[in-house]
Amino acid sequence: MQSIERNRFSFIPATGDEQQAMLQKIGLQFDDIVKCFAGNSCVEGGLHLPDGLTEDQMVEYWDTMMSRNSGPRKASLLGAGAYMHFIPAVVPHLASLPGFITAYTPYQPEISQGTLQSLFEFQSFMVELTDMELANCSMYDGASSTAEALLMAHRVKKADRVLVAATVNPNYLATVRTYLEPHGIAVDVVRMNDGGRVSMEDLESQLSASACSAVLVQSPNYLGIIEDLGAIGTTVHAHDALFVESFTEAMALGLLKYGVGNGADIVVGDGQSLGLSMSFGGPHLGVFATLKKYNRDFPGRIVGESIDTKGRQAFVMTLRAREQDIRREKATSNICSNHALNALTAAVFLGSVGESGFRALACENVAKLQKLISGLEATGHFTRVFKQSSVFNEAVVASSIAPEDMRSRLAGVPVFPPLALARGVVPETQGMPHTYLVCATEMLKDSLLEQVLGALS
Amino acid sequence: MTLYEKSVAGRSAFSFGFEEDRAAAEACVPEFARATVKPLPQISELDLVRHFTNLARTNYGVDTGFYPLGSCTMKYNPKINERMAADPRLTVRHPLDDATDNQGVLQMEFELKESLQEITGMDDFTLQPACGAHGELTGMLIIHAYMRDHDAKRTKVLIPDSAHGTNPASASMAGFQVVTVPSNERGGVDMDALDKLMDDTVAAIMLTNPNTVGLFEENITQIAELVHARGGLLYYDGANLNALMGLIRPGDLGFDVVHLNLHKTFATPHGGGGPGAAPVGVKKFLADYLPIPVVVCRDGQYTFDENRPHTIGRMSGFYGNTAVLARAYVYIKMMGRDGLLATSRAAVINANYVKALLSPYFPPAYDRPVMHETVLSAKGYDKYGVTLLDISKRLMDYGYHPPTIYFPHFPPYAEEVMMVEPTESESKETMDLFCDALIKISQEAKENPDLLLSAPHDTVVTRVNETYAARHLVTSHRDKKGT
Amino acid sequence: MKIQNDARYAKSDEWVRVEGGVAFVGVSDYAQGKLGDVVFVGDISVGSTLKAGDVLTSVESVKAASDVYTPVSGKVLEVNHEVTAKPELLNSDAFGAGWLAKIELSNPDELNGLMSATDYAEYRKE
Repeated sequence: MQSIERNRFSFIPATGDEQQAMLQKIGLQFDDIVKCFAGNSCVEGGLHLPDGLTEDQMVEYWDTMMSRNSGPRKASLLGAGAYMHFIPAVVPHLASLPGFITAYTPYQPEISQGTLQSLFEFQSFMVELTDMELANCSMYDGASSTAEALLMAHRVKKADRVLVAATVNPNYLATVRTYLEPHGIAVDVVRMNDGGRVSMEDLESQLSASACSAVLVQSPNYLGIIEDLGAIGTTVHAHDALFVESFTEAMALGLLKYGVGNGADIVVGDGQSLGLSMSFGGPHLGVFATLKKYNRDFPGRIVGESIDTKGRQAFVMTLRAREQDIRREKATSNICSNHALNALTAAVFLGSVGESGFRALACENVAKLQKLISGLEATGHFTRVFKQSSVFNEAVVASSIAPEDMRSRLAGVPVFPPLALARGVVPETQGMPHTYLVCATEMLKDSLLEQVLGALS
Repeated sequence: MTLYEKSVAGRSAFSFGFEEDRAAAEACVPEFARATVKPLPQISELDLVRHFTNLARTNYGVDTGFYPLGSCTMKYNPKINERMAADPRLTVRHPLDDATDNQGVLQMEFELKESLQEITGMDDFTLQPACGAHGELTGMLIIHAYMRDHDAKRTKVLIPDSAHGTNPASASMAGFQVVTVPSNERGGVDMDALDKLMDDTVAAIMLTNPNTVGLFEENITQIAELVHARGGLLYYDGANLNALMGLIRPGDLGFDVVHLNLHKTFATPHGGGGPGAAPVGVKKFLADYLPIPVVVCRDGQYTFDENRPHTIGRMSGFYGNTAVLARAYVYIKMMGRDGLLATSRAAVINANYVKALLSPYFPPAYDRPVMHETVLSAKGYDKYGVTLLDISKRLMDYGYHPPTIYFPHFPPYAEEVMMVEPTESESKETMDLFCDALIKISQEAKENPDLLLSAPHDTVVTRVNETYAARHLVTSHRDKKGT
Repeated sequence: MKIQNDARYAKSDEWVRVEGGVAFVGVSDYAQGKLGDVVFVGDISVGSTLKAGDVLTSVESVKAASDVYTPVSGKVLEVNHEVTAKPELLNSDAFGAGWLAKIELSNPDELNGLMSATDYAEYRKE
């Protein structure tokens, strides 16, 4: 081993002399320490990686690379699980305070109250918004959270079968299948009806066919349609299964009804819309809320309020005996690190927009989609599919414009083009062979909408 | 006080160019709107800023001081990583947007993948898993699917008793039965026990190397030969890769599947418990089992490959924690070949240095050089009526984050052990001062144990009552109100 | 460590005491001491029939979770709801108020296979 040049790597403070002094104290040379590798092939001649870059070189390299992305984008007609919303400046500012981002899991509550209390606040918000009794302090994302919900339902009900609505986001469904497959749990799909919703007849008949641990329904569903969760909940409970409600668009929590009022046993979803950027897929935020009677069954960490030795309010992780570090292979999940910082970000976001702001945002999303759809229909090239079914900020439209044409027409408009659905996902519309899932949020300002409609007219 | 407790009706930090039109919105969703409006706090922007700024101040982080939390690799998080990850050209990218419009992000992901392949000696990688345990689950699902196709009777997974709890939990979540392998008197895998347990029902062994006590597995070659000869696979938990970069590669040691914790070895911030990222690498024969999609480069164009015939499916909604991957990417680019080697070298020297300074007061269980961390015992202090917990709490008064305590659990480590991992980020002076503090505390234990028993004294709260929290469950504001 | 003389003990630290053909089952004082502050005692279903060694319930402290096995076979006649509501009873009075279940013995001979108080004291000598 050659000695390291002094101060060559700015993230390693030790100089060559200091390392020599330390080795002297240790009483060994570095080669003595790595003798334990004996007999194993060490990396000869170093890794085949380039030399390190200095910070200024890095910035330049990054800049060249990122300029290969097209853009910039001011709004998105593309949703399907990731949503472009406005992020108030205060949110990233507070969520990136070094005290928050350079800490780890709050195992030592006396020096982690900041993380612990923020997570408690997040849990409180989730309890209110999902209208459930208990929320954990985050999962990875909506898809994995949904999969964990079904695993939990299986632990509680033990029947090796779950029902999943055909209208669930396909990436969520794929994740569910991946998680459930090794446990031999059958994942049966409940058909969609003509309105783009769960078929109640098929649900009823599948529930009657054989025992089921859970029924998973998403609302708004993959096609943007709001499911009749209350009616579904009643049917599910008549058959002694757990009812799992899932959402991909957390903004909907500001307007739509979730939770106990629908008979939900678990509410799961993705909180990316709550102040988090899309960042090409992550990190998102998994939300997981359930009922108190399942407080030994749910996955993930949770913070509780307690007191210190002087009787002062203090927060601490609780219900820990479910977790992997205590119960190992019998744990309710293997989850350890979660998306705590994103939960904190969501807490800051909700604190920032507050009660009236969050409701206003939800309503604005509904209004923007309606404007977009009527504008698209006015061009004569689009018509909404499932016209009779209520939607939040996404909907399916049929169009005479083909996907390649759509992309080129929108090339000059700073928006992400909508998602082209594969043939067969929804029934065909006469004369309009192409279908799109379109999304509109508060980011789609009127002037931008005009540009979109102009390009598509 | 929580935000709810600070809420004043009518206040808001909300500033958007529209007003709530609830009637119109409800008219669009007549039957599904909430009957009642759920309360969120009403806070002014400055109050919100002060609330969270003051909370952040009560938190201890790497930017605050020395954080020798064993097995967690609390190294410095370079600020340039944050700046790059906050670039709108990355943050304002929709994951379902066409690959041709995202060549920059995809190039970053592809180059990261290539670097990780080189660092670990693996043939292919998925960047999808969100953190260590998610990576473990991904890796074990790959092994589960492979065995289902090739040798379905292999339903067990061997895990050393020194392993982190996520290993057995992940194996079990992937559908395997967990069998524990005891450690030998040198802290490694007991080869006789392994020989007995490794039969034709075993799918794989999960190993952390260096293991959770900071020791390199001396018999790794024999283990690899034995397990492979009897039809099993080797899983590498990369939690402790920080000790090995540029020195030795798990792929060359015979491992078939590895996961890496980018938030540990590759300097992305821990975020108070996440998010991290945990790419999973595999040897060629398992590449078709990776979760889809996999980022690839074809004729100079970066794209997603969905065609993996034996894929385990998807582990999450999209392609992984891209913003975390970006930070690790920047770190690897800046360290380069020599920097990564220097990192592991410095991490190992630092751990052995701390061990040398503290051994007279807190003896290590084994008199062997360690890799990136050292496990020391505080067992002797019970005669003064103090426990390791008391010593740890007292460390806070000296301005340090305590090491990992009461882990691992296997003999002779069963009780009163602390796992110290200084990382390469720390200077000699910092480690000297930390060790001085621990030595001073060891004196205090003898002379004034009450000082330890009532510690910490200088923190925003004193010891928090975990039993009270568990017996009087209050996990949301709604519980406080008793409604 | 307290030991109840008229009880018999399993290696997994449960005790059983027979009163008029009915067995009271609980965990030993030694076990509660090892667990620390108990914060949760799981449900036990009345009327279920268990074999010796089956899981009766689980108990949790803030730092550990542990399954409790029934040392004897039989039908669960009654459950101590007081201890599920106030798990701290297990710490304060493991042999008395902290009993977990009453079991109708289906095979009284099993008692002979358990340890006496003296043997248990020796087994758990620190």
